[in-house]
Amino acid sequence: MAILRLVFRLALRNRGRTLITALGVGVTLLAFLTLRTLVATWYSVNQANSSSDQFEVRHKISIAFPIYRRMAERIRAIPGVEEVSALIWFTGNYKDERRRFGQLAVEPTFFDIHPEYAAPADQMASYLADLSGALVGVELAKKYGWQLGDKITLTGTLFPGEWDLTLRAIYPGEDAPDQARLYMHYKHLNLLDERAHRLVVKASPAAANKIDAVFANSGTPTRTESQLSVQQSWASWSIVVTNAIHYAGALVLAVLMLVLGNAMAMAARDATREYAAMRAIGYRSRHVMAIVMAEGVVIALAGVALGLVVAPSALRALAKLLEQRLGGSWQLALDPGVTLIAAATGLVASMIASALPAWRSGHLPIAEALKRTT
Amino acid sequence: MMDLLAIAVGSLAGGTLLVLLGGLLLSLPVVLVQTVQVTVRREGLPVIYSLRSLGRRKVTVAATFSVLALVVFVFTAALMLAEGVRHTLEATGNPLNVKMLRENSISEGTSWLTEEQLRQLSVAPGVASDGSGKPLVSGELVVLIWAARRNATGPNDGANLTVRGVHPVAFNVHPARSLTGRQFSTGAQEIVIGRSLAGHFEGAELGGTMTFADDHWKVVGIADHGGTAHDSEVWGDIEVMSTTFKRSLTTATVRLTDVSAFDQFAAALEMSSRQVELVPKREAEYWRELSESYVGFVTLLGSVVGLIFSFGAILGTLNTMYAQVAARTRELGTLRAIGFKRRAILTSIVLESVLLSLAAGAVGVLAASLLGRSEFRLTTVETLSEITYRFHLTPEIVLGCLTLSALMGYAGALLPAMRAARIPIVSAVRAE
Repeated sequence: MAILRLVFRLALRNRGRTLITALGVGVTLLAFLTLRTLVATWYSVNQANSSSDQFEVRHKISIAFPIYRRMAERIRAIPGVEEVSALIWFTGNYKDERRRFGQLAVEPTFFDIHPEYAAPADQMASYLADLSGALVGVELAKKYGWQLGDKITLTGTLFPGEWDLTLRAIYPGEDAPDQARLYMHYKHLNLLDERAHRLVVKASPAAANKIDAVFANSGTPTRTESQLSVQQSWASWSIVVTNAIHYAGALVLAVLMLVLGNAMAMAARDATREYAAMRAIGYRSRHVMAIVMAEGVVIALAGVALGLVVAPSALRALAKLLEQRLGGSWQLALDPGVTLIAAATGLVASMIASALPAWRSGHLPIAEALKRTT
Repeated sequence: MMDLLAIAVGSLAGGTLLVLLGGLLLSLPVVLVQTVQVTVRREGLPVIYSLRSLGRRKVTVAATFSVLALVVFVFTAALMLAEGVRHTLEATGNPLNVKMLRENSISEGTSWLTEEQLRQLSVAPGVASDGSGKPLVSGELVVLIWAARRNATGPNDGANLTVRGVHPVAFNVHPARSLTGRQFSTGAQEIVIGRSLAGHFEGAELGGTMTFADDHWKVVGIADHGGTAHDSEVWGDIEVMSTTFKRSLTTATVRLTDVSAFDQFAAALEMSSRQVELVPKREAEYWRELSESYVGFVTLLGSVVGLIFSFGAILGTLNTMYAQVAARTRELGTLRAIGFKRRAILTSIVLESVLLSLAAGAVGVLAASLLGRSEFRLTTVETLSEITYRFHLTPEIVLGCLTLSALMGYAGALLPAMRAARIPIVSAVRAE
């Protein structure tokens, strides 16, 4: 206990320096948390656990080429296929062009294949009953302040004109990777050739493997991909960004160690004579080392606590900033796992950082050190 | 309840930050004036004194130097990444070129136009022509194909690439810097690939064969477009491509006689009622719009993280400079005793820190500039095709990042310098 009191006294001797150091640790930890949370959010959006029975069928030659809803009949005929829905990316503009969100035109069967996007039963029924109905994610509704029954007007880019939709249902999307989508009826687009960007299929993997063979020699050859690999390919563009964030995260730790290690070196230098005196009256060098290390850990702990307290508000501010500047919906929530990793890394980094000053203080030439004036 | 707490903490932290920042900005002109006074009246401490002081505490100074250099490195790298995307896409647009897109189309691939509309473009006013009097109007068919990477790790290891079916005139409308090999011959299953694709995709080499659209395509040429998006494209004969993809024109690019001819050209198109669905857009603007989402995201992310980082670096500098001042109490007191003014001490300490941070900043920028040769590949959200970019350093980024480092040094030195300047002479000379 006496040692612990000594550690606190030491930490509080130069209050300015301790405060600045703790702040520095807190700030770098905040940067680390921000980066980690961004990556975690990214992965949860792009690589959410899809069930293994969800597949997407697209044109073999180019994703820009259409396939056709009538092909669904031949897919349904394959044993092991449960449901098929045509899908169109509507890509319309709402109000101003910068705020684009996911807009998908699908058939009612889509929600049997992807139940994670289904709304409560009563709302679902009223959406299905209205051909110009819209089903949106809870985050999207929150963002634009939409209520059930509101009119939503989209300006089509692929499908020219103004499209008036009525909000009929809101999906809570606890399990959905994206809570900011808008769904509308495929039939509402009134496509005479019944084209689609994709056919979404619920099937056993074995059945899904047979789909491409069915259309191999037709005018519309297909390529069937599991939902998981589709999401991975969508996410691949982000590899550069996530890599960059990972590198930056490593640099953050280096910064943290340098700031703290520097402060510890200064603290240890200030206490040189005391440590020498302790050694002279019989303390072993491991005691001195433990004291220096403990001081580093105490300061780091204070910094970690500080960073964690500020983090939720900082993330909220960042999410708001991202929404304002880039559109879309950003849910940056502090993940317990991420928090734990950050706190642990901060502590380990602080121990590494104070190791060198501790070793130096523990191995002072005692007589020399006692004579030292600064 | 937690929300309320978070808001309270947030506003407290934000408020403190604002006050600190405000104080810093307000102090800057004062310190600048003092520096000028000190210099003009020749009452300052020699610069060499500041430099030598740094050399006295090598470990501490080296640690602070590293922190500052790292922060500047991260900041510079993020800006270079954003600038790389912007630069590549903007350079793709020729100021003389106009891209024709269907109204509301976001990209070349989702647009379409008729042969009749293409012919009308050729006779529009303001359109340039080549030596033989042929109008420089390039009808193009833009489609996406999926190509496997060279030495692919799996069946899904590949990317969507832009295929551009063109007439020979396209080589005059989008002139390449150089062409290794030759142009594709009309009517043949031959392609010219951009240099960024070479060696990165299956069969993408001179004399190689790329496979897409259930067909084999002989690579007869590699075009160097000088680091633009065309360097990531596959070009082939439009007639062959039309047959293969069962599509006709998707877009057209028009070369104007000069930049100012755009208004005249656009007005003429508006006059002919059949053209209303087709919207002329400056090519540079088309590509700039494609870059906006990335540039916005990366710049924002880089700035936010850079800002948090630099706050950390300022705190590190603050610590070091306090230590510097504390260790020199007697020395500084002596300097005051022999006649140096307070402002001489103040400016000397500030100079010491700014010199340190500027040197660190220079190292950070220099290290980041080594990234300049490295490439990265991104799939553009609007076109869904993969384009190769390079980190790009501009004088503005260098200047901005050096200014930032100087400011970090200044911010970290101000309070310690003020303490140093206020040291009471009598007690200072008695200090240990």
